[in-house]
Amino acid sequence: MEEALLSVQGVCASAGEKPILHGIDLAIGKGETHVLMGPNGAGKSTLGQVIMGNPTYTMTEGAIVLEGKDISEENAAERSRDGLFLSFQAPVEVPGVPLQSFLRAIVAQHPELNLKGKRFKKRIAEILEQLNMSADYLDRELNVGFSGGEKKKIEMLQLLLLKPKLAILDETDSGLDVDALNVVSKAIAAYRAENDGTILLITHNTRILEHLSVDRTHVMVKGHLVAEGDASLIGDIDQHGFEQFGVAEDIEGNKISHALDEDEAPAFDAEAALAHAEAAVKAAEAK
Amino acid sequence: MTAATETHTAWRPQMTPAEVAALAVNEGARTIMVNRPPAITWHKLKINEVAASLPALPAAARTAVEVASGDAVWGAEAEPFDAALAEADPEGHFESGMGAEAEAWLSAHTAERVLVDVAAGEEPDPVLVHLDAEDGAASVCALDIIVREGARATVYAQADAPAGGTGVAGFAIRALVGEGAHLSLVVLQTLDDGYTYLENTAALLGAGAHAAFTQTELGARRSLVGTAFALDGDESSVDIDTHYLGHGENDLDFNYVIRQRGRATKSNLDANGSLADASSKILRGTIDFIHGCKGAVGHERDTVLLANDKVRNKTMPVLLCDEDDVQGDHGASIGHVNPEQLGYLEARGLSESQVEALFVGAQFDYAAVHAFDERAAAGVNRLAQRVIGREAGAQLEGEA
Repeated sequence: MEEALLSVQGVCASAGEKPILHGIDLAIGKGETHVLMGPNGAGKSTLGQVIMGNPTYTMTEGAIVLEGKDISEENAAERSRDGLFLSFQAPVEVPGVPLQSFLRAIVAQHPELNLKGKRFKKRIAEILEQLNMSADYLDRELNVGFSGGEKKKIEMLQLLLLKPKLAILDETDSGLDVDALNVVSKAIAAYRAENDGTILLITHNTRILEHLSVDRTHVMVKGHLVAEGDASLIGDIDQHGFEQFGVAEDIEGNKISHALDEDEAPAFDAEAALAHAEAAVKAAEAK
Repeated sequence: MTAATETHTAWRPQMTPAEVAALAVNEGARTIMVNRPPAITWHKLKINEVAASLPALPAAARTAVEVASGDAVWGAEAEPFDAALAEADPEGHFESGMGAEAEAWLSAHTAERVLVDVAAGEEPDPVLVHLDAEDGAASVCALDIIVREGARATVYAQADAPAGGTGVAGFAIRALVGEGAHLSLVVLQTLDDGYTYLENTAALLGAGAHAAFTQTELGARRSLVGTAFALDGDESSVDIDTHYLGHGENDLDFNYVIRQRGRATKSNLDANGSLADASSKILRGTIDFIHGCKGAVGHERDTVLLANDKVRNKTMPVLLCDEDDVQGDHGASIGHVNPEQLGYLEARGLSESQVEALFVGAQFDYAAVHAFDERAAAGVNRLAQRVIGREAGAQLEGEA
């Protein structure tokens, strides 16, 4: 078997004293698109942050290997320079830093892109056009006062500019209207097509997946990967929610029972939850 | 020739009028006390005033000041402004931010006076004034601005030192903004380390008048900046937007005084800067709600990034209130890059030191993006090359 581009090996992680991820194993081959799904609070975003090296989380066990290199001890900046990219669910506002200053600074960390001077200018113009964005954004402070959709487009701008080896897209589709979702979907497709890009897509929403060819689907529940399959698993989840994995939550992330924690498991009413789930599925179908 | 030096001292009584008058003669080195806030605080903080020891310098040649474009009188007398002021300010509210000693010293060293006088209801083209500091001299431009009733004026001014050198440079700005008039005033300072910079501004606004004042202080070994706005007219307003950068061992010293006398007046002071290397900065901001200014609103904020453990920052935001129907708030945000921002930027490949360098460079980029003409951009870029080793904001504008 060909060596995976990214290999997550038995990773356990915690935030402070609270364990969140439990023995995660995940392998993503070059050029593949993997989807990570799961109910709210399952730990999906945490996995993305841990792979990226966010110091908020402590990796207590396991290893993260990129192209055969163990990057577990590297910080986020080093991982970025190695070719990892995380599109933030909630991109941070940075007052005082114009977008173009920021873009210049991050490109400077990637000399392999050879994007100096006019090449940089040309590439930025191309991407802005792809994203239906005005050049006026370049003079604005990074993400300051941007709408949710604009922030996600700025994330896509960086994705297309940096051409990472692997992009983790954390809820990139959340909060987008139809037009913005369309633009973002095309940007992701362009990253795939132009760079043979590799993607780990974290999402609740299957609409964004309509534009992508998915190789593998993973389901996370309570910090465990509980299921893995091909793209057909997405259809299953779309129809039945996460109830089949012991979680009473529909595809939109709406809880249909509060009794999800292990401590409360004895009180879990499976029949009632199933009834709720069926009702939710019918309601979704009716829409 | 050496640049001026300064020391912070304990507060002392104001000079007598006779002593101040003596400053209005250009002879010998002088030590003047400037930037006193209206209300003082603990002396031990050493921020109640600042002493500037200014060397004996001849006034620069008149050609140090150039009106690059726009309708303005180069070589004006003080009289037209004095006459307009006497009419607009019978009660003598007009004051400057740096104080009387600085007024007198600047007056004695003025190289040239420029008058911008916009007739009622007019909106002429913007006026661009360039002050190119002369080596070994005091290069001072007196800038008088009268925006008469219902008129709109835009004035850009830059203090630069394209030839390098040492000395003192400065602007003495006086502005009258008449009823319903609008003034947009932009001042950019890009001096080299050999210079001390004095920027003393006094402005008085009539009813319904508005002033937008943008200051960018990027260079000079010492920058002493005093700004006073008197919002005398009802519903008059001012927005002050200040950007500053400390680098090397540079010192910045700001004093803002906003007197709100008119009803429903509005003020907003927003200062934003970065301090790198071993630079230091003091910013005093006073909003004075004077009895009778019912419905007045005032905000002030200083946001400063400390990009090195050696920098020193003091911020003194003050609200004085002698009226109960007002809203005022002040604040200061001082610190290093916050963890959330740092996390985001590190995830893009930037180390902590690179993130701090980004914030410093961004001050130049911001100034370059907003440069009002080619000379302003050239001044920003020259300074950026020296401080951060690259041009500013040019990456999308034909960088080779």
